[in-house]
Amino acid sequence: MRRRADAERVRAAATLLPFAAAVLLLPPFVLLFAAPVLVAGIPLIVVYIFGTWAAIVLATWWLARIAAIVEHVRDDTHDTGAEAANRSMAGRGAAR
Amino acid sequence: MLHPNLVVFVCLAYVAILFGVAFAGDRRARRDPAGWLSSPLVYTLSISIYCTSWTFYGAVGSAVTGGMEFIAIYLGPTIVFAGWWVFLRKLVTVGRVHHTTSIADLISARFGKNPALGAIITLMALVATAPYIALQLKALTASFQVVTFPEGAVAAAGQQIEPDYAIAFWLAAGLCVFSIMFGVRNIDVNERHHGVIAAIALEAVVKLAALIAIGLWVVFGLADVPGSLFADAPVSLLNAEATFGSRWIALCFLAGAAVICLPRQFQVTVVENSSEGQIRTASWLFPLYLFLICLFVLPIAIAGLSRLPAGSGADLYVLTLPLAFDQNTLGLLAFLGGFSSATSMVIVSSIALSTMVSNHVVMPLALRSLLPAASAQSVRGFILGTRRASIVFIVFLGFLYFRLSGTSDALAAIGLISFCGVAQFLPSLVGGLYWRTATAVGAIAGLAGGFLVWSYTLFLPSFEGFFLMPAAIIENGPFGWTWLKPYALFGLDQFDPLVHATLWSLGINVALFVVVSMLTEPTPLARLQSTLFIDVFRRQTESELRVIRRTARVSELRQVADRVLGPAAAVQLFESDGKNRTVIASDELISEVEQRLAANVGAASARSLISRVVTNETIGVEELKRLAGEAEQIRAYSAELEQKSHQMEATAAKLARANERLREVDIQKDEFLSQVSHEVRTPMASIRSFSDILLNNRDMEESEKLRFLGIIQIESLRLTRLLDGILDVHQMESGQPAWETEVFDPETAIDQAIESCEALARTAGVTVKRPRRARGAKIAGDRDRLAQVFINLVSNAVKYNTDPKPVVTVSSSLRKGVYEARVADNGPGIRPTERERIFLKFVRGPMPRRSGAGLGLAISRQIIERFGGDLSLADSPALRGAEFVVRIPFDDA
Repeated sequence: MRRRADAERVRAAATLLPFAAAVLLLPPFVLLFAAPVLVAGIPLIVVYIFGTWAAIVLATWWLARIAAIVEHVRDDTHDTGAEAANRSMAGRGAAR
Repeated sequence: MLHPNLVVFVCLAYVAILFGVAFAGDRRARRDPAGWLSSPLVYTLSISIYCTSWTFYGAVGSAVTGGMEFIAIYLGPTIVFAGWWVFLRKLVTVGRVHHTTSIADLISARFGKNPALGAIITLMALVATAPYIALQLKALTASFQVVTFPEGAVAAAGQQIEPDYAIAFWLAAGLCVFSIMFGVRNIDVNERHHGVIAAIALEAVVKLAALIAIGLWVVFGLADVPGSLFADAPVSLLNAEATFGSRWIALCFLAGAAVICLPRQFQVTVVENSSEGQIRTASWLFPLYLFLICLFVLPIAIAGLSRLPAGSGADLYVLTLPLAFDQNTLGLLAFLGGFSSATSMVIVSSIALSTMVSNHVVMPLALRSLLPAASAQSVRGFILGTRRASIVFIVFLGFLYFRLSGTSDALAAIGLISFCGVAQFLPSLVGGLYWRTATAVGAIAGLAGGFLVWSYTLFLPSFEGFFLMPAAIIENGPFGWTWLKPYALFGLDQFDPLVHATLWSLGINVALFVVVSMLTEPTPLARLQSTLFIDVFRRQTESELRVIRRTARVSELRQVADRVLGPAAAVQLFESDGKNRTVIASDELISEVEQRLAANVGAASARSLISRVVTNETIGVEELKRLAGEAEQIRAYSAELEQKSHQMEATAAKLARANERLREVDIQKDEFLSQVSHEVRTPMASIRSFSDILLNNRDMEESEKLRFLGIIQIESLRLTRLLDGILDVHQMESGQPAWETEVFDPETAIDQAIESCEALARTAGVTVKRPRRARGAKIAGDRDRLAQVFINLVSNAVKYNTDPKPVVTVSSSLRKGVYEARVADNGPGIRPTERERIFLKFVRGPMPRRSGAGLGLAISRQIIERFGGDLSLADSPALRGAEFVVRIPFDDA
């Protein structure tokens, strides 16, 4: 049960991530950081865009890692259509 | 300046390495298909062909002219890959499960294996990609000419050099050779191009390494203090307010669409994919790659602006900056990086497009006339030949574009124009994967409409009048109709041309797709395909096979397989499990053969090949419905389960509450029993002891005897009262008490009760007040019972009143057909926790002056309920103390 709840949460987070990323990187939100301010000699907007970008990469990496673990657990307990499809694919590949 | 011979030598050596890697990759993959060539890392590196020379050289150029705008081109794909779970995962799984060969194949297969759809998409892709290939050839040629320019690279970049078409020609020829050698070894597209992918991965590493090396050199070598670089930045570069407008949104969107829809991206992301693990890793690794590519673009742009003479082409800063500071090795590395990014794009694009051209344009035509008579060897030879010819055709179409456009700047903008062109595939692609009733006619209408509008508003005007569309039309509209001006259609002129074209073309595309789909019916095959595609994550069931029923002779089926798949594959297909012994092929065998053919020539051509040997075909409507219903059923079933479990939880909670209540009642019963025993025991004990004394002392004085007999009588009366009370409760509960019905004024019952309690009140020193009286109320029932209730309430109010000046107030009133009597005291009141409990049986107040059986209120409530009214405790008594309210409805008549 606990694992299923975790999988549910990972799925929800993975679905929300691109929308959150879009909000952060598109106007009007991005305009908040367009002020002519320097951070350690670098304009704030440059720091913001690249910082957010790095954060998105990190978040995706983290979610992909958890998704892999959750998937692995799911394989052991019960499988879904996708896994069955993948397996039948593998079977077909082997038959070739 | 670098010596041309040196550059040529390095290039040739690099190309030799690429050939070696591709060759080794192919050999290795044949021995070990699941080896490191299928690793997520190589997969991700191959996706990075997204970064062409347009990125490698163009990003810096774009940063110089448009500031931070260039980043949007890489943020769109970042968002798409970060959201792999939402769309990309489904797309890749569909491609893998259904052996898709290209984006045209996927869309045409989804809409009932429609050949026209495949052809349209192929033509659109060809039109959008050829100029893009031309741009790569131009970049290759220009970069070679600049690094080998006798007066130095900086001087070369500052002036207009006539492109050396001979270089471009030989490069194009070389690219054709590479693509043909490693891209068209076999006609089975699903047998992945490991050799090409290995070479592309190496090129991806080279271009990233080159850009990062130059970036590090600029930041740490060229600038005195790394951070000081931005101090030289011109204002235009970081003009944030202007950057983040509608164009920024459009660029993000188009780039996100392009990273899926560009034929080469579809090829490496979907067709070459072999497991979900690959896309999972690419989801973060590809955005990271893009991040690193972009990291040093701004520093290089700023350094170029501030250190190179004005007017030297910003598009080649990556190349000219190291050469201007005599960093020849770095310059050569930059050249190789640009070379890598351009060649890898041309190679994969030409392979992807050649598959599309041969499967969706040439094959359908050939199937009509040429192929039926051809021999086994010649069909396979024909397909391979078509693919090879297509590669040459595509690359040289690019060369032709380059030759025609010459020195004009028209090519520079082609990257984004191409993005907008392929974004036209997006509505059909997304709609196809999520919308069940989308039809092929709708998709064709949307694609054609979008493509025409794109051509008119963006593609043709971009040639600035030298191709098809004269400059006059761009300026004033056709026939002088200004409302048809390409850059301001219907007067919409406040947008940048790219945003304008995106809005119109995709708007019309989506509108036509949706409206026409709603007006038309999908064919049965399209219905089946939509179920298979949309529910790709559903467990595959046997009913899928049972939907299509076909009859074919095994010998004829085998002939088709022989001719297209080759004898070896056909033997494998037909000789296993004794399939060759029967004369009529099973549905499974036909489906398997069709699937194998589809992996080679695309779903549409495979279907038309199979339908030649199939004699009758029916699509079971019932099975189709059942299949479509299956997914729905599973969803309904799980929803039902969820609901059931909620119900169970509710029932369990109810049971727990009932159990709790039972325990409470049980405890009360025990308490009551011990209370009753105690109550009974006290009078019994005195009765017994006094009767003992009377029996044993016969000579007792008469007066003493009488006193003792009196006590015995009082005690037995007390006992009787107690037993009467218990009996009463029992009777009220079983609902059959002695109940006399008469019509009476309830005030008389109150008066009777106050009278009865007078003695008790006087001894306790309590004043009983009677301020308000109701007049004329008549109720039907047992008057004595009602009096009993008031006696109970008043005596309780007297007994529990601990106030030094105790007062009990009894008032009554009539209100809307309800007779209401209130008995209030100024005692300690009742604690909130006790409010409902006191009405239960055997429960007594916390501070009894005299102990009773705890039955009074319970009986009273039952009596009042018998009258059809209710007895309750008033919510907020004005004074301190408790206030009981009796409400009984009565008839006015």
